[in-house]
Amino acid sequence: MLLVGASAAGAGLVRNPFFTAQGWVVDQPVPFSHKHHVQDDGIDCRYCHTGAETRADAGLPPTHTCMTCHSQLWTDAAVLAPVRQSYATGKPLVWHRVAQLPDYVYFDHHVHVKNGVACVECHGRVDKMPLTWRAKAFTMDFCVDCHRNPQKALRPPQMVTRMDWSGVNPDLLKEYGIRIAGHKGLDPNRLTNCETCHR
Amino acid sequence: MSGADSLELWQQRFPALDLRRRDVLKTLGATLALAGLDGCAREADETAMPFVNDPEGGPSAEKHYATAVELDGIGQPVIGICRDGRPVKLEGNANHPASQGATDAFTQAALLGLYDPARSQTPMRQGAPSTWGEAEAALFDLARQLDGSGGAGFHLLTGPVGSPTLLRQIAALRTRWPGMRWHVHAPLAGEVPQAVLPLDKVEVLVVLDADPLGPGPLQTIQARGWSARRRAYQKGQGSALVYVAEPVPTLTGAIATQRLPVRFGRIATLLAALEQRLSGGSGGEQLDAHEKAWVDAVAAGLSRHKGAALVALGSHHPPMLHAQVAALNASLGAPAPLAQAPTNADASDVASLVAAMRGGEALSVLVLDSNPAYSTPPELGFAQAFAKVPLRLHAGLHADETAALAHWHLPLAHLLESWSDTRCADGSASVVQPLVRPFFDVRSRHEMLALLAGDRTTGRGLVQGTWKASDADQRWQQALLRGIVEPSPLAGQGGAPSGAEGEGSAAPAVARAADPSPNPLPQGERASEGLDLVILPDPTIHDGQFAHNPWLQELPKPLTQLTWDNSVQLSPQLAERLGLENEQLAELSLGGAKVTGPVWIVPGIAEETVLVHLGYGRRAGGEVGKGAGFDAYPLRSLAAPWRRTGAHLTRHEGSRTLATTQPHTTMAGHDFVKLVDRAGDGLPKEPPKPSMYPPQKKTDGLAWAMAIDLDVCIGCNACVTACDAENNIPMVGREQVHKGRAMHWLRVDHYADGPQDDPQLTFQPVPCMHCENAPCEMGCPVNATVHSPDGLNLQVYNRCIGTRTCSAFCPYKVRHFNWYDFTRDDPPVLRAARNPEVTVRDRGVMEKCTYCIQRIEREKIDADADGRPMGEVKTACQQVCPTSAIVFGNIADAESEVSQRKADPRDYALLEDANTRPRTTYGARIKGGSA
Repeated sequence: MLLVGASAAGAGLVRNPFFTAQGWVVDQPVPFSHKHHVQDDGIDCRYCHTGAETRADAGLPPTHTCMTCHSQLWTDAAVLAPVRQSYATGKPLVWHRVAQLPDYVYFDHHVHVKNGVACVECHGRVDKMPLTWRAKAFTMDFCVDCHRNPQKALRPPQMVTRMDWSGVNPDLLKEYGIRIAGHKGLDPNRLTNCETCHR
Repeated sequence: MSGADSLELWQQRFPALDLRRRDVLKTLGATLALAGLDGCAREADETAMPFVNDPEGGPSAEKHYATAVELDGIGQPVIGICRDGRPVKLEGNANHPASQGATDAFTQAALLGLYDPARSQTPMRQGAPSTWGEAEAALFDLARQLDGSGGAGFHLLTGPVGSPTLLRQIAALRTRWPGMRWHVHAPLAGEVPQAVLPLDKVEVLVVLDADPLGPGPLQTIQARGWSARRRAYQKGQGSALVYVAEPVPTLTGAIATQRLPVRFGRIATLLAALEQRLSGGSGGEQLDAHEKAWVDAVAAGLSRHKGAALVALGSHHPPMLHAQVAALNASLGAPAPLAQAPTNADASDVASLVAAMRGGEALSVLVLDSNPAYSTPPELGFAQAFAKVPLRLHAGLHADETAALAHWHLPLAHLLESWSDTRCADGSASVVQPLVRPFFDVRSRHEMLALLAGDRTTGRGLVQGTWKASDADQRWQQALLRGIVEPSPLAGQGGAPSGAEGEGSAAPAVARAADPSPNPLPQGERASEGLDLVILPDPTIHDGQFAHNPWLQELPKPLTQLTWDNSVQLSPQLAERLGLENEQLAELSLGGAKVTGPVWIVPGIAEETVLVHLGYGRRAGGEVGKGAGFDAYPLRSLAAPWRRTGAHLTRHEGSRTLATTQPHTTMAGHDFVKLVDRAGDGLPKEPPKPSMYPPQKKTDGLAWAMAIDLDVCIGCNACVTACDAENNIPMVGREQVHKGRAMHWLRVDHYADGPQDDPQLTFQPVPCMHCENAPCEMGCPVNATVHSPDGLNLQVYNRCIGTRTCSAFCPYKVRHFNWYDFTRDDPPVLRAARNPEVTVRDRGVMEKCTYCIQRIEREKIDADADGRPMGEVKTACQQVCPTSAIVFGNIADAESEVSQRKADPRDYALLEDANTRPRTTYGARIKGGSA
């Protein structure tokens, strides 16, 4: 009895945001607002996260990228002082990671983006985040659910950065997912193999 | 022990604890509950620090640079794989003719030399830290002084120099200071310069007390050549016969078609007999039955293959014998050598430096990247003479034995972080470009000499000066991309002689003249009293320069499988006669020199012969090699540094445990290494044994497998070192190796079967077999080892709980357990050396060869993202093998090289009776070599 109860409690606790950091705003040196930059200004994800469709890690923008605009805009803002300081001194900004996976997971970003997994599937409605938090619990079952069922997350690659899919016919999306998964030969047996993520 | 008893015991030991049965059970229950949560601890928050300006290609781009490292002054071309701005792996340069993509163990381990925590970081003056400002002031003072005196009393001592820029700088200094003298200390030099043999053209190779395929700067190019000829023989194109006569087993002797163990004093007799047989005489009067049979076979082989036959003599033999061999080669029409190792003919030797120092003529001495206080025989008296010099400067990577005696120790940069150039084995010149900005305050060897000349040009400027190039020069950019700035002078020719000394021109009359040589190498068969002593550089530590490199210390030496120590090696016959056993200490004395070391019995050593290796017994330069082995340099004499007679060996009290990775030397009647008689022969094929498991599906046209051709494996251990470098293998130390806990994922087994005084020597690299019916997968209680659809046996570290069942079930014993956290205390500089693509394993998990899964996954992911089919994947071991013995690939593709190897009738699986259906199979060794 004790064991069963403990296991159930344990299972619940594992998915608790205390462990998964889901929904918790992470403190940053600069209070960067994705809501402002994405929704208000319309900047594409890849302008800053250049590795998203080319490399294993999407990466964070170098200070230079911030300064492409902020050398002209808000040049005296106090909140942007660390950015200007970084650019002037050559010392990098120290960000605190939000979308962080354990070291024993070898995640490759660009193979997901190239195959059409939309940014919003894993990162949530970033365009609605005035400060950044982890939208999904990056537990193993979050990844494996999709690897078992890739068709539910695939979108046309040119629309991969689209945040709001509510206006699109869900049946159309489902049809697209099934067809494209079939066309690419995405086999859940292969995708759920240990070597895919753990070397 | 029952529960009640243990409770009693606990209550006795800790009376303050009030232990009651119910309370204990409650605590146990609660622990179980918490145990479920324990594995889900919150990940520590990480920070991310992007660049201020991204470098070209993106922040984490992998960059490849063509460069080279040096061994004994000869360049070893490599491609440096750089991640995050620093090298994490060295690969061979496939475009470079000297290596064609292969490297040797020393080159692979050079990477760790760059990240050595024991490297000097700052100039030292009389043992106390100083600054470059002060050092430069001292150098400028010296330069001014030398300008005034025309260089009188200044001596420069270097190792063998092949670098064109260094030669130019030294020549410039000598022009400026005519009174200066340049000395070269080459501890591994022989009597005559070593020729690079064209083994791909040689169908009959006769090796007399030499080791062309053995460890050294010429191993890669010569092994490539020999294996090309051997492979042609396998296909039925000509012969590949190797006849070896040697006093101790070597790698060349191991691959020989006919090996004759013989005392080194007999070499001259054998050569004379051979010459007589070839000129029609009988020539067998002074030979015993074995020797006669060998000479007969050699004579027959040579006569049948004129024009494609070559006789090679060890470079330590006297010039007279070399003249004889040269004449013989000329009469056989032997192919000319590819090149000669650098000789630095216009430099004096270290003995003349000692004479100058002792005589008081030397007023200032600069030792540049050399360690004569360690690597000269004490008979020479280097240390005492050095102490007399008023100004002693040492420039080197470590504060070694010579630095301890110098006034100034100036830290040199490693070649992997310097601009330089070098001459490779085939005579071509390559530019050495840095793979990382130096992380210590060091200067390159060129910048060092330039400082002496009062020149502040950077290394890059100095090298460009030699080649009259600038950054904008198209030719310079091409040289950096390809890795060659000047092709070999013999490139494209049929192999014209390159001004060789001692090969191809001496007349037989010279050979027959009376020999006034002072070399006491005994000729003829009158054996001196006492034992023959053979002194060789250590197979993994070389002349001592790698004593503080853990990868090389823990690399099992090919013919003994010993690590972390050298030993006094004898034949079983001699051991029995003297009543000595393995690990017992023995005292070896010769002349006035006495060394004590542990005995190791090695089948294949000639009778009455003792073998010791140089390079151990280091007294400074790092902590890794301290206390390892004994110093054998005292046994060398100036007249006879490699072979001596009149040694005495007696039992010394005590013993020393030697850490070997393979205590058994024979196959004990099994056939792990299978042999066939001649090319074209196959092994009897048996139908597969019944199995209750379904056959492995070959899904998606992808089925990984490996084939290892034992006919061309020379046991060089390049593959093992490459695997260590690629997969972040921890080094465990002597004690753990002795317990059988060495962590090398790939091991090269060595067997000496048959009569122990003349054994059949074989090598067998053993990686994970990736069995289709893997016993380890059946045994793992938590499914940490599973089979992938493409045929790999996977090891998932984060699932492993360390029961070690898999290792118990594995019949090949290729699994290794992390008994301790081997990497916890690693300093940051050592962490930087690791490959970021491979997990660094923690204590308590099992690990094993993964068929380089990181390389497979990288290619798979890139192919998927690019929408193209998968390309070729080369495992680390395959990539460096100089003989291409190891081939990895996709057996679902019938055209792939691995499929062709497996279709060969020589292909077989190790431990076939175990019915594990391994994906790693072997090609049987062919005993013969005659077409």
